Amino acid sequence: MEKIIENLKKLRSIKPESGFSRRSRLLLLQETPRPALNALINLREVLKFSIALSFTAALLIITLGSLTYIKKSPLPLVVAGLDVGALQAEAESLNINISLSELEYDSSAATALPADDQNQNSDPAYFDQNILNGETAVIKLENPVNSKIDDALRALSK
Amino acid sequence: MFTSLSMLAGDENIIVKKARAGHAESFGQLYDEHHERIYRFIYLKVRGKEEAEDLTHQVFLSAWQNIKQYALKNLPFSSWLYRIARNKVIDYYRLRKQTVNIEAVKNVIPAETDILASADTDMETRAIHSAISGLTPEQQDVVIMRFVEDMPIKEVARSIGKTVGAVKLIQFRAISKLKNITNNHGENNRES
Repeated sequence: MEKIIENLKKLRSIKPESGFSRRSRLLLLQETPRPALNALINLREVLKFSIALSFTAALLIITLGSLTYIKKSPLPLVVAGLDVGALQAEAESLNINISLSELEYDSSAATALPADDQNQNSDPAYFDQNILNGETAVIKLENPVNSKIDDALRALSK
Repeated sequence: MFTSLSMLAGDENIIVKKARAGHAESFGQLYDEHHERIYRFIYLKVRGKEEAEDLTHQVFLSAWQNIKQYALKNLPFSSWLYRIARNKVIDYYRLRKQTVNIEAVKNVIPAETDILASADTDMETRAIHSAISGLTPEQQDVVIMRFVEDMPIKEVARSIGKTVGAVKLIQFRAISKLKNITNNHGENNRES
């Protein structure tokens, strides 16, 4: 083993040629060193940038995720299997029906006027003669005393 | 002027500070101090003179261009250079794997077109150089740093990013493997 180490030490005689050394040295010193990187400043900048980038990415993911969820979620108006076209057509036809029923209502209203209108209208054509006769007989316009009411009051006072 | 300085740690820190401030001549001094070791480290791993020269130049070019980031590393300058060198060697083999079949190249070019072949070195030294290539890259790193460069075990650990205990284990296995390889090599030579 000592012999091996001794022989290894002899390898120290290996040297470069002086011509190479001189040439290499001259060439090297013609070069200029690269500017130093301020590692700490760079690290801080990189950290700041990466944090900002992470937050932006997180915000983007949340926004996109929310949009996707809203689009896919079963909201009342967006039930799976519901045909929007059919719904629209139905809505349009419903509007037509309403207007038709209003027309019907208006026509009936024209023939049957409310009692207020009858009272305000002095035209005798609006009075039903039979009803008026019946009412006149009950009320006794000449002596407007209802004996039945008087009897009832007397019974109560006893 | 080209001189090899042997710096003390305190002196080196001052020179490194000057180099970090963009003083080219200070970086030149650091180059003078460390380039032989880095060259040797690379050479023993790639085993080719031109490749070793090219990679050594790249290591120091990277070091000079990025010298202002060195303060953040909190390890000796030489350890920082070894780290760059290790990465360059890894890149070299990765690129080489993608472009050529290593086995095919081995058959065409002799394995050692190197300094040792031409230098006045004994067989055993050449054998140990060949044996290093039989180790794993991590074992090579530890063996070169510990026994060729005489680096303290703590600095080796910091250079390769391991614990001291792990380096000791790698070192033990590497030496055992080298022993086996050199023994086998010796037996083969005797038989032939």
